[in-house]
Amino acid sequence: MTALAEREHRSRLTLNRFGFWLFILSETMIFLALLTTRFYLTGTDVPADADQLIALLITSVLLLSSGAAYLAEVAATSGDGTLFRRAMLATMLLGLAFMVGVGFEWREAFHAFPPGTLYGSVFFVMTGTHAFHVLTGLMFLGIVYRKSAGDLASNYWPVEASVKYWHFVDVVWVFFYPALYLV
Amino acid sequence: MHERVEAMLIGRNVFVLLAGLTAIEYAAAVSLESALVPLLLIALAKALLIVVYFMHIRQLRKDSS
Repeated sequence: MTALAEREHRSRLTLNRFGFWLFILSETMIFLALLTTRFYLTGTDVPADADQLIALLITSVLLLSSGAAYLAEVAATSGDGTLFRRAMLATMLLGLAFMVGVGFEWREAFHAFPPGTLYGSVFFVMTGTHAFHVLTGLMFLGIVYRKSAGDLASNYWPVEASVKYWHFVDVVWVFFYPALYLV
Repeated sequence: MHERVEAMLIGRNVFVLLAGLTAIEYAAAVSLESALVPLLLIALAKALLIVVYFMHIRQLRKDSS
């Protein structure tokens, strides 16, 4: 790569990163609004029926998937295609496991605190919005996996962006988990 | 190669810290009567670890300079 092309590539990457963080900031506002709504409407109490075991399990699964995503990014940086593919697959499978866990939790929550109740409406809106982001994150990872598996070097930014987005989904859950189950 | 090993070590250490904080978070919630403040602090610490080490927010400052 010539010096000029290298500089252009760097400057494009910098712009991409700034744009991405602005997007993350705007997403943060949505989740902050949901978080404050939860405490404003329902106080600091959590219903006794909230399933602590499933919540801890899906939190651990999402944390593991974040670790796998980090590994995928390190592999992409060093051009290790095999490790990249394995780590990306692990990330997506763990993400799917999280979604299944949320499904189980919803089935129980429908009986324990239905969406018609105050806590139920807050719970379903918060977990639903987060699950939607997990779903879009999975789609994003899937597309990047397909496109980047053959040529990591020229597809680095999509890998970085999808992995960062996945970590953001994890950051949101870091606040939602105690707010919905532990407080 | 050296950078890769270093990145892997950072990732492993951060992951272990996050897992430990999650365990402490759970223990605090079941043992303390009012755990709001400790839980908030733990959540902030976990988020900071992810944003700094996994999302590399410091790249922004490096890029802009």
